[in-house]
Amino acid sequence: MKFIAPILSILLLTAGLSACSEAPKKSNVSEAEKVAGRTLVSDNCSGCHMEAEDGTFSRISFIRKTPEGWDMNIARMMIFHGLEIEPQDRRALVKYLADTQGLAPSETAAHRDILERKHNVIEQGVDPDLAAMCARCHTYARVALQRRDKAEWQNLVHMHLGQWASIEYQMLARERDWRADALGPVAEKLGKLYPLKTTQWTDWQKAEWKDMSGSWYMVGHVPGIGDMGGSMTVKAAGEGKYQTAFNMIFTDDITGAEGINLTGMGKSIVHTGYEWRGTATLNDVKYRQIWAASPDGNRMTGRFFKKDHPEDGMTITAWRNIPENNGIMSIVPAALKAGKATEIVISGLNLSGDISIPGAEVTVKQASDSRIVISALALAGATGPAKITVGNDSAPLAIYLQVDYLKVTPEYGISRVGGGGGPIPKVAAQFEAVGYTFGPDGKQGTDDDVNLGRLPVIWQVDNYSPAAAAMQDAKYAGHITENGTFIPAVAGPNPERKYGTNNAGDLKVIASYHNGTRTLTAEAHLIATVQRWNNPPIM
Amino acid sequence: MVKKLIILSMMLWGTALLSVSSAKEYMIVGARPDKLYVIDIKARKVEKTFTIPDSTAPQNIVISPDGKIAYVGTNHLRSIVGIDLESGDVVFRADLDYKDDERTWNYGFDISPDGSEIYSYDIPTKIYLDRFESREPRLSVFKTNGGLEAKPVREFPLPRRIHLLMVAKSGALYAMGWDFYKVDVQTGKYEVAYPLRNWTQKNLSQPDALAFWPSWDNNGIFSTPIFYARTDMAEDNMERFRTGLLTLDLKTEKFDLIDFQSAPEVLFSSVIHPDRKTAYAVYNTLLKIDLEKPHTAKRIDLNHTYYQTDISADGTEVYVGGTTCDVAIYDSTDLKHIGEVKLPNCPDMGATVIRMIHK
Ligand code: HEC
Ligand code: HEC
Repeated sequence: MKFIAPILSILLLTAGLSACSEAPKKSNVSEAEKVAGRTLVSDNCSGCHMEAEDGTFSRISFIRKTPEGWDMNIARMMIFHGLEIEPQDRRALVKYLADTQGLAPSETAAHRDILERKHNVIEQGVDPDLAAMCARCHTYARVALQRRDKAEWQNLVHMHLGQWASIEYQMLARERDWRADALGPVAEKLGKLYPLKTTQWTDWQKAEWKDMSGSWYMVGHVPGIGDMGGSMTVKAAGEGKYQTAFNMIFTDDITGAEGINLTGMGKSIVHTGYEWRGTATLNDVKYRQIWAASPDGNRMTGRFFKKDHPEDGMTITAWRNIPENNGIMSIVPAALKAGKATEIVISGLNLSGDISIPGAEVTVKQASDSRIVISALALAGATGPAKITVGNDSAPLAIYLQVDYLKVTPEYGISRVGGGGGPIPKVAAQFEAVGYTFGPDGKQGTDDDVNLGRLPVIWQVDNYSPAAAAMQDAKYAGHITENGTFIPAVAGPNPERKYGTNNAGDLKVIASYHNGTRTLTAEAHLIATVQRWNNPPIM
Repeated sequence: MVKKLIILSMMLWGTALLSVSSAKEYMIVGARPDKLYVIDIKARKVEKTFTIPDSTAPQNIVISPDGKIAYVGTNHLRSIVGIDLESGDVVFRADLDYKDDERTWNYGFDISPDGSEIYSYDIPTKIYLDRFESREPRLSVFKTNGGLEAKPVREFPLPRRIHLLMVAKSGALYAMGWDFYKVDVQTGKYEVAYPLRNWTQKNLSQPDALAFWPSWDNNGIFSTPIFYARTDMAEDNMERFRTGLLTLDLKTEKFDLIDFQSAPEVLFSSVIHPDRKTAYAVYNTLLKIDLEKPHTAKRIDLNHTYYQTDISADGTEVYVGGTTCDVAIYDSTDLKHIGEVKLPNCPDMGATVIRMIHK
């Protein structure tokens, strides 16, 4: 047995060497950065996490996490275990660990909604047993955004058992042997689903991580407000850091009217070669970006949101301004009512050539290579799916006679009480009503239904259930604005309410669309709930 | 036959009632972070306030059989502190993480009938430099004369997920968890005395009951709300979801399950009337349960949530407490609100328990 170990390690070593010699290109993390990073781990962590002869640090070297995952981990070392670390060292360590022990783009793809801090995500497709075991206190994404082998998943379970006294006693835990299940089949399953070593990660480490500087064009949608098109200029500032400048224009997606202009400057850092994290001050309000670059580094997607209100933001698509990136990125609105002249904004990159909509008259009112404003008039006979063409590119557009039905999005919203002298602000919930036609088959809810975009509606809230009615939730939980924003009531117990309960409520949000003599309505479910006392980066 | 039984139980408890009738009744409660109160409950008055040293959140309270000492579980489930109810002096302390580099959660303790031993159910985690290791739970036996750094005299492994200990008149220890276990405190041997997770009740699903509240001081019987479903009823039939009371008579050591309603409400705790014909259960509502029918005879809404309910020795007053800083008092016959005791400066009672004593 004694001989085997050295032989094995020689084998491993040579395997490592040959892998190196195959890829002589410059490494994504420089030797100097590696040395500096190792020094930080050694200086801050090795008091508890022993360095082994092979240069690994106990526990630390056997887990991969997102930048947020590493930052939360260091926060726990500080809060629970008394680690003291300078803020700049903490940031540098997060960068070093995320760059050398991160997740590949394909490994985070399924869970970006949570990383991006969308606040009313219902996680789909989670194994029900793992959901019951591991996703009742935090999201499943928190689990699925880590990579480690079974023994390290077991260590994590031990941490949970030692940290939270009630973990085995809570609902969904107490009917089973939570500890045995977590240490046994669950750790086993997680080790298989999310192991330390993956080809995705080895391949991503070998891929060339791109510099993000240059000029970018962005489009995005702010629910209840409209659509944005705008530019982001990125300048490299060294060590994966960048300076940014923004200029955005909003278009009201109901009227097509030009809205506000948002401008400002910011700073960003890229972790793991693609995890773009930015801060910016736009029109004096602080914003954050959590974006991911495509593996080729020429496109980015993610959310841009208010720092103090992560729920208030937009999902962005950004394209790097290079010749290969040309075409339409968005059209607003993407539906044209037959017989009515409508203003349409086309956003994109390197737009050139003729602009046309078969079946409609088009007048160009304004044109640049990234933003074109047209007025379009479709004749009644042209109804149905159509397209808008700009030079060689085209995008789908619907021409319609009437709205057949409405849908409220999101179908399920969450708001949170706040304020009232407490430290936590209210979290509003934004709804939109979107119109549809039945499509060629004349039936509602089939694949050929055509999305007509946001419609002007009248908003109301009502009690969701008899239990909510008995508690008069609709009266106490808050109110909805003309624009579909549900503003929750203040935090704290309300002596006017039965049981002196707080202003939580279970509501339905109702949108009514009046169109001549017809009124269409649609509903969504709103849980008006209590504050979150801690808002960790990965819920 | 039914009549006979009632008479018999009246006789049994009649003697108990007699024996306490000469003494005055007090309620003992705790509050965060470090308070213990002795309440003259009939006078609606806090008579004594004690401060528990090195305490954060008092939870369980166990009174010595002579009524002189309150053993308080505190320090976030990590310590048991004995307080003399006359002087407030600390006469006992056991910090449960008594092994090196250990962190321990206490999930229940009780005292032997002669007052000489405390049985404590503890869940330890070993803390290494760079990792934790969750260990198997244990029963630790402390001598009440163990002083201020009491160490266990015996230690035995017990199953996980136990949440309430109670000692029967005979000295047998009962532990409620996945199942109800009977534990021999000398040998550590345990057996399932009443199966819950493994129960064999016909057409009933695995039950759910998480009881932390001792309400047997004035009636000699443990009880808790328990929830289960009738597997022989259709999924959409609301009658399918049932609420019962699970009881353990601490004298006869007999268990009983009394199904009394479908499950429209959350209930945290219950107490049986000394006459054993009625019970009360509480959370957002207070229920009066007729045990002879059995059914919910009356239900009132409370002005806030309460965790524990208890009853006076003469059976006339029902108390509800826990959660905030008041104990509300109801007439046991018609559930009319007849009084309250507010703790001074309105501290948070949290999940602290109510005990009833006579002296
Ligand atoms: C004072 C001791 C101490 C120091 C210093 C310390 N840790 Fe830890 N660390 C622990 C303990 C104890 C655990 C196990 C319990 C836990 O996970 O919180 C742990 C666990 C971990 C884990 C495993 C977490 C998981 O997800 O399972 C990682 C990774 C880690 N530490 C990283 C670090 C890094 C990086 C540093 C330095 C910046 C550091 N630690 C400094 C004590 C320490
Ligand atoms: C009782 C609630 C609860 C349950 C159940 C739970 N967790 Fe957690 N978990 C937490 C909390 C709270 C934290 C935050 C710890 C901290 O402050 O760093 C956490 C942190 C984590 C982290 C991040 C740790 C780090 O340092 O990066 C992971 C990964 C995780 N949990 C996985 C799991 C898995 C896997 C399961 C199921 C076996 C599980 N959790 C079940 C409460 C829970």
